[in-house]
Amino acid sequence: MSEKNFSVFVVEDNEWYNKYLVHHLSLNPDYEVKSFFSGKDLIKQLHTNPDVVTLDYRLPDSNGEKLLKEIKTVSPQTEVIIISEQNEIEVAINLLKEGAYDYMVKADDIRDRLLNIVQNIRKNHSLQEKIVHLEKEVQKKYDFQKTVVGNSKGIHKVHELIEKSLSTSINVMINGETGTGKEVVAKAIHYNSNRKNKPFVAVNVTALPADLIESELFGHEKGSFTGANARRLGKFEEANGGTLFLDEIGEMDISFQAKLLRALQEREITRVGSNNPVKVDCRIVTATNRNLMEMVKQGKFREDLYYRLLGLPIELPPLRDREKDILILAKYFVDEFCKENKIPAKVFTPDAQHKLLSYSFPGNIRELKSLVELAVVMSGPNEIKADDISITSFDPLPEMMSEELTMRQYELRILKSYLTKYNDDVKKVADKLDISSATIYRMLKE
Amino acid sequence: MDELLKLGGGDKEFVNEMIHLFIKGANECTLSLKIAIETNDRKAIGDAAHKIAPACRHLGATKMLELVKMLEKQADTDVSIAELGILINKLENEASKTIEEVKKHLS
Repeated sequence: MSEKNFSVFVVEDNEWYNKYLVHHLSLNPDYEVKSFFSGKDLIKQLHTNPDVVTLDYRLPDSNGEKLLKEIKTVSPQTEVIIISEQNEIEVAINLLKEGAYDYMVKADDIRDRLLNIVQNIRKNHSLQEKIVHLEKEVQKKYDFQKTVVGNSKGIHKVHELIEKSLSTSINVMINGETGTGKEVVAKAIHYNSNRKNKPFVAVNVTALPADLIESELFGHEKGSFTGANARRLGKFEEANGGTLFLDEIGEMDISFQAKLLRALQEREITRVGSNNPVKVDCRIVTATNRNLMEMVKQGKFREDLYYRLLGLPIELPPLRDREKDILILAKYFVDEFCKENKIPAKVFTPDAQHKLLSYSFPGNIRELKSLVELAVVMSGPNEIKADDISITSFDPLPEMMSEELTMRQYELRILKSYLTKYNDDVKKVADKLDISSATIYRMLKE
Repeated sequence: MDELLKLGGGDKEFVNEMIHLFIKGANECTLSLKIAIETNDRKAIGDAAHKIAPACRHLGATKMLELVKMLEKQADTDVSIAELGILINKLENEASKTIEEVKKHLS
């Protein structure tokens, strides 16, 4: 935060009154108060951009309106408080319309009122500075070179695509297994784009009940259904000007997909219970771990909606395909966790590193983060050993080998296990098992 | 002179300075008024009265403030110069009394 003193210019030709105001304002050690007796002298110093100017309305060489305009032209951020002998409402209203912060009459209590107003202006300035600072922090946080961590070919490709997405408002579809960082990428796109100062609104489609999805996304009018006690804006309106992130888009009920498509085509929504469409301008970022093209073929996802949402597709590789990045990410999470919890940094022993590299991380980055944080807690000072890393796998394949089965039964189990793992993506499973899709369909039929 | 003490908030140096400035201002005001009445300059009369008003208010010089306000208002009307002259004389007398009064509080 700025440590700069709060600067106040007092412009008053009356020597007595000038001294009176300057004295009382100067009692606050945080204020740097300067005194002026004419408009001409004030104008010479306006380039220093004072925080506040208290301006006598009736100066010998100028008038309040003229000077107010001059101040607002040269130093638009400066707040101007007009001080006058006369209590003229019309004059006050005009000056406020022209940008004066306040209009005060030279009454008995002016000292206290002026001090209060200047203090309020200072508080507002401080809040503004805080907002600017926080916005910068958020932007730093989503500098995608630092948040989408890794050095593998796959991640460099992701960085490239994020960079390409920034210069326009093209929709983005992020595909990747659970835990690969889809929302992190979505936020990185938003906070590095020209929409960063507008809202980022995230919606998990699976969390929306089917009967309320329209109201959640498009909003509703008061009385439109039981329980609608007031008008409510939907996620589209909340995200207006910014980014709407629809996570797990593959789970969207097909009956609602047509309405979503219309909203995207027309760039307008109609709240439940209303007849009036509302224009919206959102960039749509979607994410899924499903194979939407496959779902389109199966009739579970609309083809026209798929292409409307596709825009720039970004594929997030699973962690097991980013072997190079496992240790980079593990170190990143250790450092972040230690910093957050104010504990000295720790390093992995060679055995611990080997253990991490031998594991397939079905839960991807989310699983790695969870595992690493637990390891930091369980480990001694300085080092994380192999025994500190606790791997709990839900991978059913090892369990299977404890039973005696026929070859056909083993094959079917393996096939079903892979189909579960890859969300029924037949093409992907075929690639992984190095068999044809037709073989998979045949085995399932049998 | 409760107003004087309130004004300074206990700061004697500040109060002294303000008293000196008031005396200087009041003397300048009466001089400006004398010149303005002789030259028939109604605007100058109004300006001089306007200038001394805040000090009168904050020092609690209510009688002087009343006269100053009346003069400022009447200078802007078609009240005769002679009547303005009478008001100025009253103000001069009141100013002298007020100056003597505030001088007692100089330390």
